[in-house]
Amino acid sequence: MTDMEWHALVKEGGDAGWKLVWERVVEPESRSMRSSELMDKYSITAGDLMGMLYEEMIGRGKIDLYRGEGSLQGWLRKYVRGFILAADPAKHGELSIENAHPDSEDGSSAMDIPVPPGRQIAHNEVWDMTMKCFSSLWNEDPERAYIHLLKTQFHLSSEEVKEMLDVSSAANVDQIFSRNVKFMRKSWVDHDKNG
Amino acid sequence: MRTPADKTIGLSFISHPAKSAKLRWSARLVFPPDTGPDGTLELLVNDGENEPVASGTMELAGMLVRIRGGKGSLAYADFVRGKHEKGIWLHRKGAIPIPGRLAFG
Repeated sequence: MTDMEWHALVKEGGDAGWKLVWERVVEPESRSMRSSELMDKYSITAGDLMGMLYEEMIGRGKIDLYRGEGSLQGWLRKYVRGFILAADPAKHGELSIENAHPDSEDGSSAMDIPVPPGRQIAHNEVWDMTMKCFSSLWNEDPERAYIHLLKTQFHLSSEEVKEMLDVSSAANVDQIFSRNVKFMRKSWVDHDKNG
Repeated sequence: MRTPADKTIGLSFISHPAKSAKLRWSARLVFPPDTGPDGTLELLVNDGENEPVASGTMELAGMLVRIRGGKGSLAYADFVRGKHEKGIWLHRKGAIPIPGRLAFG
């Protein structure tokens, strides 16, 4: 199978392409010396990485960015490595709907995050919007909001979340988290349109 | 059903806006490490002036938790059973109940 054939299967989102992603990308990277220690440290599992990669490639359409320059395996592996490095709690001041932190919940500073002055207004707007989206998620189902919080703020693995909230399986936690991210992104667009 | 063995998890809840700081509230539900189905979670509740709520009842996860001196407790199993419940309220004698929500962060 050529890389472009594999790419087509991955893009379809079905088992055939993603089984190979697990075997060639996620599993080897999670077993590598450079990543396994960090994964233990940040409490993320290979299953978490698989969910994140699926969300990034299919949910956000990043799979379309692959142009066949270099191997698909190496290209995907860079994303997986990036997820592991991004799990470092010290990096969580980044503006991201998935892991945004509060500068202010009630006007006072809840956490000091260094933000360049020019970005402060945008940062607050992002935070306000994140709160609206998170409230919408809560109104869908509070369990989904708990899962989102435990994964993004407390960096629990899917297995830990499963145990803590008595969810049926870690795979189910992954699915819920993936759906949450999609929901938050859609809410963002909706809130943006409706003010 | 078990909390992570080596981490204390604290979920924060905050009230919706209210006219006075005394009416506003914030709460923290603490999950001790390695707590099983028979375990208990501690609930700490302060008002908007950051003073412990002397007396009241917190409605959370479908349960009514009695608050005394800013503290209450909730069975872990009850929280998990009520994990789909949306209503969060702080009821205090002589004051209107103020709803709240899970805080992100």
